[in-house]
Amino acid sequence: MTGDLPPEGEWPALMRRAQDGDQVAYRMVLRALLPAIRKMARRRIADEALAEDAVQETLMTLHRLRHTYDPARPLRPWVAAIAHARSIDALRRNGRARRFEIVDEEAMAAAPDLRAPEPGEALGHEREVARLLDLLPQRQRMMVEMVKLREMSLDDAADASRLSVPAVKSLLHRALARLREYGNS
Amino acid sequence: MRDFETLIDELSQGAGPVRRVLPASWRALGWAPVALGVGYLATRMLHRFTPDWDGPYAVLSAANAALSIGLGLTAFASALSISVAGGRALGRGWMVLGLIAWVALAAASMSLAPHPLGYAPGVGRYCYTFVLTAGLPMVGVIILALRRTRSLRPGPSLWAAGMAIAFLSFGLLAFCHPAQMSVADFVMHLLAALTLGAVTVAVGHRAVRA
Repeated sequence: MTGDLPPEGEWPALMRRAQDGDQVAYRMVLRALLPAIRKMARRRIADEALAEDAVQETLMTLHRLRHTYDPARPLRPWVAAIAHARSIDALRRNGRARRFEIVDEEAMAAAPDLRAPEPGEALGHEREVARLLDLLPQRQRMMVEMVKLREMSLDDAADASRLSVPAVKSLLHRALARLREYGNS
Repeated sequence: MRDFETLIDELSQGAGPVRRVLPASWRALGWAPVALGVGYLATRMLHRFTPDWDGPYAVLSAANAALSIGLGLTAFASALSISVAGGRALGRGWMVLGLIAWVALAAASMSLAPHPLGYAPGVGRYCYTFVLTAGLPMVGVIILALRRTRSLRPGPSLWAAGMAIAFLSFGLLAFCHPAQMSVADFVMHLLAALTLGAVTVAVGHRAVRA
């Protein structure tokens, strides 16, 4: 698979073409960058799953910021800066999640949820969720419904949708990012 | 290891042409007149003191205005450069030299004051108000400029932007300030700069974060 990847010297020219809208060039450069990004993430993150999350975030940030790349300069330092920032973010998020993790499940179940909505309020929330879900593309909506609402495992969701687990994760990630955007606007 | 082929396919299929950003120094030169313009318009609300441009110390006021605007432009270009992935602060050597010259000019202005260490209630209040009045609208303009690229390191980008805003405001203040100033006056200038820096970071953090 790696045999057809372009050499590093060609990356800036490919990225320039990608900035001009050449989707084939963009696909080639992203595929060529993937092993380098993975290496950068793994250098900072020992946990494999977390490193893979950072790789995904790096690819998506790279996509959003591709207009900031100057083709007169080498591509690797630009990508390395993005990978570095996203790896640090992943480590921070992971650290925060661990710090606030509650391990006493019995106490958790017994504690009353003071923020639980009243019945009327719940109906309003339900409508709001339905409205936001309607804004998502069909495949992303399906993933949110399966994994988040019906609480299916990623494997089950992948089987049911005939997609790979990474594809499910990716769709879910983008759906949640989009929902967050809609929620903030 | 995850298979990212699907993600790469989706990203590349949705990728249209994008407009590349210009070099940071060009963008700073384009945006600075806008920032200075809104700052100037905002200070029209205030009473404006006019320095004696024919007096013996006019050269001090002129040098202070030119140096402040030069430092503001350099800091602005740095803020824009830092905001791009892998970007660094621009002209760090020149910035340090400029800051030394700026402090030397301030010291010269303080040595001209009849009572440099004297303090009276209200001293420096005009300068503080002026710098904030000029600088606060500039915060909006500069955050708008930074939003074009967003920033992976919003903290350093915004501190550099805050510094740029403070110096551009000092540049405008130099046209409305006598050549002499007391130490208390100078401290209020620095306090205004710190306030602008803090406001820029607080307001801009979410807006420019990539």
